[in-house]
Amino acid sequence: MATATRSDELSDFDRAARSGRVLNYLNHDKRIRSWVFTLDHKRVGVMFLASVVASLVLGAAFAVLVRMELMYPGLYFSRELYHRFFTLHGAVMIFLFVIPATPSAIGNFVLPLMLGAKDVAFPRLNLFSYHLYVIAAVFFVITLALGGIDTGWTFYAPYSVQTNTAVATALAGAFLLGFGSIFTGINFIVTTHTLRPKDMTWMKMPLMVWALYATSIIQVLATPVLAITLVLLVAERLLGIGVFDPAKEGDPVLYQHLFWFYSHPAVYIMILPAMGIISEVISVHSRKHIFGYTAIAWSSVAIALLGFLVWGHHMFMSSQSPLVSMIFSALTFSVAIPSAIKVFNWIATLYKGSIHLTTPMCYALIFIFLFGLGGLTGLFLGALATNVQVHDTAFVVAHFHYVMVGGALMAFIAGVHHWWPKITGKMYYEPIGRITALVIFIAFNMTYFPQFIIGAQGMPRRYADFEEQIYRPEGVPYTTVDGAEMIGDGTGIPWIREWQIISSIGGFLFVAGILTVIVYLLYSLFAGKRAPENPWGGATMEWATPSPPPYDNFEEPPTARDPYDFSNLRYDANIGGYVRYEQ
Amino acid sequence: MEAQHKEDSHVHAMPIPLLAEVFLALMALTALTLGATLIDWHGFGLAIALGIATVKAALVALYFMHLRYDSPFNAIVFVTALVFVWLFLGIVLMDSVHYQPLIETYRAQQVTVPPPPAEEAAPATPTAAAPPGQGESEAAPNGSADSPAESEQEEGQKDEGTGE
Amino acid sequence: MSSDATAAAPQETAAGEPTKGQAPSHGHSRWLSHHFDTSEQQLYSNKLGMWIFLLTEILFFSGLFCAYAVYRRNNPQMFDDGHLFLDTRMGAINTAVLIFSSFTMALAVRFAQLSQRTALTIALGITLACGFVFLGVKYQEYSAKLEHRLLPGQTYYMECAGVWAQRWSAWLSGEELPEYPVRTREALGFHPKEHHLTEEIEKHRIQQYLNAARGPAADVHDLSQEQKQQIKNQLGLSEEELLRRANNLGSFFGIYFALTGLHALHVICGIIALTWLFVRSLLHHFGSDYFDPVECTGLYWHLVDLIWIYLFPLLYLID
Repeated sequence: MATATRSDELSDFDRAARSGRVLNYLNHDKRIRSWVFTLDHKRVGVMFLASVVASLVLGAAFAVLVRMELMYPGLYFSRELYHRFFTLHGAVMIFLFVIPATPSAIGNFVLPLMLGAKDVAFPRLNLFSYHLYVIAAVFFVITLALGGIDTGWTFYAPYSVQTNTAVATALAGAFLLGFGSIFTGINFIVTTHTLRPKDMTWMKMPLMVWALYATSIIQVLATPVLAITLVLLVAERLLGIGVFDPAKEGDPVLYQHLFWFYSHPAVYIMILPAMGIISEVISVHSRKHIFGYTAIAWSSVAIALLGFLVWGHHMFMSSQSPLVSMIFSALTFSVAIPSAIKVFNWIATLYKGSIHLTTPMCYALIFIFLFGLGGLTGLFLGALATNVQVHDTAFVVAHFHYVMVGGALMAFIAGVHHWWPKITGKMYYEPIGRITALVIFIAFNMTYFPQFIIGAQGMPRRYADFEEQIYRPEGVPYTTVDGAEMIGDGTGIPWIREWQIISSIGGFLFVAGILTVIVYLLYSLFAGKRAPENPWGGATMEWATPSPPPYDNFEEPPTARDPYDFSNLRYDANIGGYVRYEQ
Repeated sequence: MEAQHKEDSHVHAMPIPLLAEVFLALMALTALTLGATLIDWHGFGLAIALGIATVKAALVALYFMHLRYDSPFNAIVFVTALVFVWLFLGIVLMDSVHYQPLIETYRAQQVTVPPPPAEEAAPATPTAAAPPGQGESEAAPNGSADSPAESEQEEGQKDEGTGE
Repeated sequence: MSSDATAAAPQETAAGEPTKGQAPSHGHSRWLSHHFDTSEQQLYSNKLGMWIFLLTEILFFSGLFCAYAVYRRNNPQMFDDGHLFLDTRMGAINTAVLIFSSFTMALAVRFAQLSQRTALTIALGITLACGFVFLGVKYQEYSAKLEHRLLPGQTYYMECAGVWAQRWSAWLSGEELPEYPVRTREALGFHPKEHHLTEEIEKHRIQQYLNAARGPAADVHDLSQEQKQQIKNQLGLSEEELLRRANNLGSFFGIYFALTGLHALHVICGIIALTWLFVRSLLHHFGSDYFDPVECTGLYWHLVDLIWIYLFPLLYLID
């Protein structure tokens, strides 16, 4: 470990760097088969990272197509194509990106290191999770080759049972991804229970570990229900067993219950690890002990458990009985409380901290703002009365993009930047990171804030053409895009054309920002400065090993200490990082 | 060898007589379940059968699966699974039961007396079971809008038409 | 979940240098993975991992139990009819076989923990044999269903490779995409009347009515055609009604095959795992220092038994 006592003495780090290549987990074995059959959680994490970023780009491509269609009234593509675009955007982003990204890509790398362990509890199961991901991705590609699907990512019966698109292959892919998610969850729970050092009690674990643990609880409890739902849907489609068909004594609302029992907790799978990242980043980059550790830790578990009690709030307009709808609405309000507790604790951590506006910190601040907005708008959706107005409108679309993109994606990017030096041993170029963060923030709000506005005024979601929603003053004749002459009747959404153009331009800019991030991060692999062991001054265990870590993670087992106590870390300009000094 | 001896001390091997007793109890309970089907329980038959099944499941879990002597966390994991299954089934059933009346009402409006073969004129009057002043306002416009087309067909076929 | 083969993979030093495959030499079992400190820790981890996996399996089946519950609550008649065509004896035999196999599996775990290697192999062998008996009985049941054409579902939507190829070539040549063909059960030879399903339902319902009205001694075969027709009219059992009920059996059997089929799939996976254990027990891999796979597979097998304990009354004992 790099400990320098005098500034003119060469640190171990420098000496090793001068002598030649230091062996670490990346370069100790360069054969392809050492990657394909690796049992090293760090390599599995890196492979996941590459794969989810590729999926992000694919999902973003579909998003661009969606926004191209919605930029102007009238149809640029066809309705059928548009249905496929938004379905594939949703399915790829949710199943191939957001759900695996933080747990499997970042979590796999970081969890054992934070626990001072040599690996996860079940390394081969971990590798199997990755292989399942790859096979599932192949199924999705096959689905694309067969023309995609147009059911919406929610695959509602009866349409998904009857549509002439490649539903079965898409469901098979989602099924496999579900099991990959389950195995990751099992791995993390057992690792957290059994591979902690003796002196690291539950209340001394980093909050990232708490977040991953809570996420894993959801993964193992909810994902199997998705798996059986997809099996039933395939059986319904291929065999007509009738479980979702009223003519055969079945029930389409049953499909929705089954689907949302998973898919609501799934959104907490997406956001909980992101919140874990924010806890780490905010604390480290403001050099201040996290405020309210116990509250944040327990609120993670509370979100995980309460998240299972609210799935019916997606079904208020699906003939769910009023009694059950009221119960779900009340419980939905309760789930906002732990999330709010976390936000207040983060803000209290920032207060009087020494804020370093590094790229991870920029994204963490963006997270707090965007997630806060998104979370608040969720209350309008959770309240029964207002849900009637905004259900299935662009308001819902804006809400979940604020929390999933403005929340989970921003935190993911923050986490990638925060741990980039540890994973790759390279530093990215800081100024471009901050500028891109600003561009992304502006572009994101340009894209999605208008959708709150037009959604609240009635713009439906999943509509290819908003011609009918354009405001037409009463009695004034106008021509539609298709050339028909009509007389206005005073209905419509004012300024919708302008909002849609702003939203689309924002969307394109946002995607450009994401691509920029990927480009400069990849560039740092070749031309970035060598990273010191602890560039940000973190006190968790992963910063007590070289960047990148050796195969076995630690040369000596590290001691468990308060993960947010930065008091005996000081910055050493020689190495560009922090060192721990003994009093 | 020392390591082996250390390993032995934490292992609790189930004694064979105990396992045999549990096995015989399970067989007896199975016989009881079969016997119970011969009696008419006036609707509680399912509950009785599931109750006996739960006792059997508890025996398997506690003794065969070693939960009685294991770390309590394993039991917590098992019970958590059951709790969530109950939560899920309970709420879905509750919802299903509560919106059944909606479906019954809708179905009642669709069933008609088929017109006698001699008359070909489509009946313009509402269906036989037309509900006067019923609370389901969304069902009424549906019924009256569809009735000329519906009344010729059976309810099952109509659903088939829209479903497939 | 067990880390048995890690000893075969090359161990690596802390600095990341691969060394030749060599078991750790500090008195630990050769099956101890490098990321665990003691065998005890490894056993606890493996068991906990397996318990969480069982949790996921329970949740996996819960979706089907949910569909069953909703179906049965809304249409108990369909379940009554379906029950007529299930053989309770077969179900009871399977229940006994599985409970016995659970017993022998628990014995196997004990023998492994006490290093009684021969007894272990025998116990595993018997468990494996019971698994095969279960599948054999299942096969009998399923072929009986096939004979009666009691297939799941009512229409079959042929989404498969041949059709994909057709659609792909149609798309390439710019033609209209052909629809997925749909095969009805009639096309596959299912005719309710021909296979006596309607008669079976009719007979049983009349018998039920007689038993309720005139006591257990009454027999449907003693009745004349007019008497039967009278009762049928009273019960609302017209020809269309009987046909509808026979058609709906497809929905019941959808649930039946889904539940028992998924269960049978799990039995097959269990048999594969048990075979692997059997082979390893012959190779003397297990003893008091290492019996993780036996215990974990045992847990899985007990879960398979547990699920059947619930399936049996729910499907076979509907009355």
